[in-house]
Amino acid sequence: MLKSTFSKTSLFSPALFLILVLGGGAHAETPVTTPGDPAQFARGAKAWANNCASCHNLRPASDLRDDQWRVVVAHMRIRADLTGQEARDVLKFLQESN
Amino acid sequence: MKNKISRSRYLIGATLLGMAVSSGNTYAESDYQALQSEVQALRQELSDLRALVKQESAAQEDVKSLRQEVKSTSRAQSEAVNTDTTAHIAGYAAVGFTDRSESGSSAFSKVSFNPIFHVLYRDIALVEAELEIATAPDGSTETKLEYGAIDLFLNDYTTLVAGKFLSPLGFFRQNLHPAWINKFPSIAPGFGEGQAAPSGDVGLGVRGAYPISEGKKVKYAFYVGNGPELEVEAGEIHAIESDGYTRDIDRRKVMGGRIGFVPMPKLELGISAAGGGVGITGESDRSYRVLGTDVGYQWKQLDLRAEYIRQRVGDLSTSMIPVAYGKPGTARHLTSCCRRNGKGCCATVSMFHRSPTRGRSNGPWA
Repeated sequence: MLKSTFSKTSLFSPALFLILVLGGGAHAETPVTTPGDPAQFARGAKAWANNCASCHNLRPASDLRDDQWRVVVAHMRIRADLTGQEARDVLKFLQESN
Repeated sequence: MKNKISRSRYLIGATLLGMAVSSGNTYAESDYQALQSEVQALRQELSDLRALVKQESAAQEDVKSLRQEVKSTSRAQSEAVNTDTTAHIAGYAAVGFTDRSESGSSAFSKVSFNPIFHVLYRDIALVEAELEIATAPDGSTETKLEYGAIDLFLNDYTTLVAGKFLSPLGFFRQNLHPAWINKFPSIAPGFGEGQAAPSGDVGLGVRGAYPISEGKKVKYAFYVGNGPELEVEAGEIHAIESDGYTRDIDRRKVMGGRIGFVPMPKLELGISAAGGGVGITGESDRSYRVLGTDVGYQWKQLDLRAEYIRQRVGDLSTSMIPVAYGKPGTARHLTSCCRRNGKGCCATVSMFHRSPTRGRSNGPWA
């Protein structure tokens, strides 16, 4: 019984992956930050406060250089499941505050 | 009489001369003194000016060197910002002491160093790896790859993860287990390596988040991997090891994932599930299932978390190795953290429950 359930699951999984990848791809063109977006800094500050503190202490922007924040935010995007837009907002906030 | 007048004239002339000479001498001395004090003041002024000029030239030197520094820094910064590939090294170290004074075996029980490497190629891919270099109880050095993965950012909502990754099942293992994260120094019972919550896997996965509305979003992480292995000790299945293997003894992949719902900022509800096969060399596959749920909420200075996770291994009637634990582990923990001004203290209350079906009752989680 259990085995047959998992066999079915294994059939569905490639389809699920495909849907997620293609489904995500369909949204890739949506919100793109306009250069000099004044609201981005504020959004970044909000996303930074709401997401980063859920696991660890908030680290001040001066802890790292701007280029280092680029890599760290990319890593944290995966770890904290941030959207691309949230990650860009947080990066903007940290770099502008540095 | 004429002589008297002449004498008087001489006397007056001499007196006038004497007065004139005497008056001329008085004027020259005061002028000299005034000139002397003026020269003194000018000397002082000149000395001050010299000092000032010296200071200004030193300041100019400083400005010149600062300009040079700013120029080189801005060039380096510009190169760093514009480069396609950026690398970053982070990490942490931990030293632990376990007090078991009642049994007489207190010891410095943990020494580890975990360097973490990140390499970002534009905003397309991230390569990340964490090593753990630790001292084993017998003094030998253990080196382990905690995770090593290539992450491909497909779009704003989906990242493809390939390699060895931390198990996305539950919240604690993938987000809170590092020693530098605020909590009690020891990991909550049931959430250590090889315990109730899976640690990691080798395979392929997708993860990301999708915003629903302002402050609300759905997080997801799905994966397919080689799955865990059963640890056999003294003829019994002793534990489920999920360190992440590049072999698959049972030949059935494990698939699963976690869906997290953020209904409002700072509140997250998650459910996790996985299923597949697990086995022992030379035997048929056994079924393997994981089920878990977690909740996290940050309220002011408090960070409240609760998590429940369970791994189950199915029976195999033809097996010669009995199952020591029908339900290898059910773990729950409740963690609360206080944070103020960047400093934190946490308390973790954990409950761990084992349900032995047959065989010995002591296990790795006792």
